[in-house]
Amino acid sequence: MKPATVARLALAGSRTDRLRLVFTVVSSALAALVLLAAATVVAVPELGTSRDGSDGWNHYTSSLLAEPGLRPGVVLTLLLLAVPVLVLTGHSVRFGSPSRDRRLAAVRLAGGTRRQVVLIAVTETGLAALVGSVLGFGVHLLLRETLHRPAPDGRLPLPTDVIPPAWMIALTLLAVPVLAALSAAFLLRHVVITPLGVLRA
Amino acid sequence: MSTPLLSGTGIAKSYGPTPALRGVDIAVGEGEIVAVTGPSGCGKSTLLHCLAGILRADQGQVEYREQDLGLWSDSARSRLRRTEFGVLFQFGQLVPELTAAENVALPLLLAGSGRREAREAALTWLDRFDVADLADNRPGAMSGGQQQRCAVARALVTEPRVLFADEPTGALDQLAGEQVLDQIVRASREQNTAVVLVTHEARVAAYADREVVLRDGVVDLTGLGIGVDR
Repeated sequence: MKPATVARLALAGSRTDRLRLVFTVVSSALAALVLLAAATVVAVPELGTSRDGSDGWNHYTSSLLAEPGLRPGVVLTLLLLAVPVLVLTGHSVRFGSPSRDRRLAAVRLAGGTRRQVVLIAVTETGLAALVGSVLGFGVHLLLRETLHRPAPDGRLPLPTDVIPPAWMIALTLLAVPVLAALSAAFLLRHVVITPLGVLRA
Repeated sequence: MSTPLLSGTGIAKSYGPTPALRGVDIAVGEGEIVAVTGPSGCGKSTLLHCLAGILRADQGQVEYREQDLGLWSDSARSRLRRTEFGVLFQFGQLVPELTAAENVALPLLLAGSGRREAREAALTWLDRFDVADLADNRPGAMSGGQQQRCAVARALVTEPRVLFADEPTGALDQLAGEQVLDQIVRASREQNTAVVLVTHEARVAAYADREVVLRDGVVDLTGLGIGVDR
């Protein structure tokens, strides 16, 4: 099956499929936001510059960000926070709608293998998660501007002065749809899609 | 009959404690149209599903070209449905979100054909069934008869060796039903495609070369229509 066919069948949903798509987009946007926050903390330089020009601690109000030894804990916490959100994104593939189930069963009846219909369902999740990921990046940029509120002494509550390197942003934005798709594929192992209908364990 | 193209021997199938088929024997030759008839709940559709490889029989053997389909993987039986077998149901087999041409092209697209090539083949078949002008319409914008003609076109687009039709006119009025049956018979004769036609209507069974009557999951040997050549 050619990629264009997979994409066409994945995006052929009706109005009743939109709720699932919206859910996937919103949850993947949330996952992207959390992962971008982690990437931002990773990108905070080891040492900042003191107001007098000498090397010193970064100028953040929270020691969790200012002290290099505490930052890995913050990153780990954010990564762990992203896991249930990504699983939630993947779970959207199990929210069937009669039209989606009918479509997948019809594809099986027309000769589609189980692997092909799983690919179609997972592609739907992956593409919606990609949209959500880009949306999450937009929200991240917006929040970065909105939350950039230096205190009178110049210290910042959040690392809004740091932008992760481009490769790290790209990796994060791609990781969300890939992980959501993998999560969806894993969860679909309990869903039996036959030519006669879809059964959920 | 010489070696049948498709045969079932001692097919038994149950849904939980309820037996649907209790040892059915059936054989279908090349290009032969066989009607499977009987009252509601006698196991006609289950037999068709077993023969088409959609369901696995609990007992017995289904052989296609002398190969036991029960030993084939689900993927291999799926591939058979987009190459050698065509399947036609009463309703529900068209994808509502795809156009008529996309629906007809679906088995070819699943087999890896390009969109242009598959569309051309689909248009040829839609033209054969006088619905080419509806190629870009979705099923919801077509009448029941037009939808069923598209479904027949989809079942035949791969030029299968066997067409499985489960109550193909059940949702149609008499005129539309006759048109669909005429087209199935014509395509069968032109391509030497065997047809397994499940129906509970005598007028539909009359289109077949031979009739097999089921009753309570077994072939009704007392019925008048058993193995009758027309």
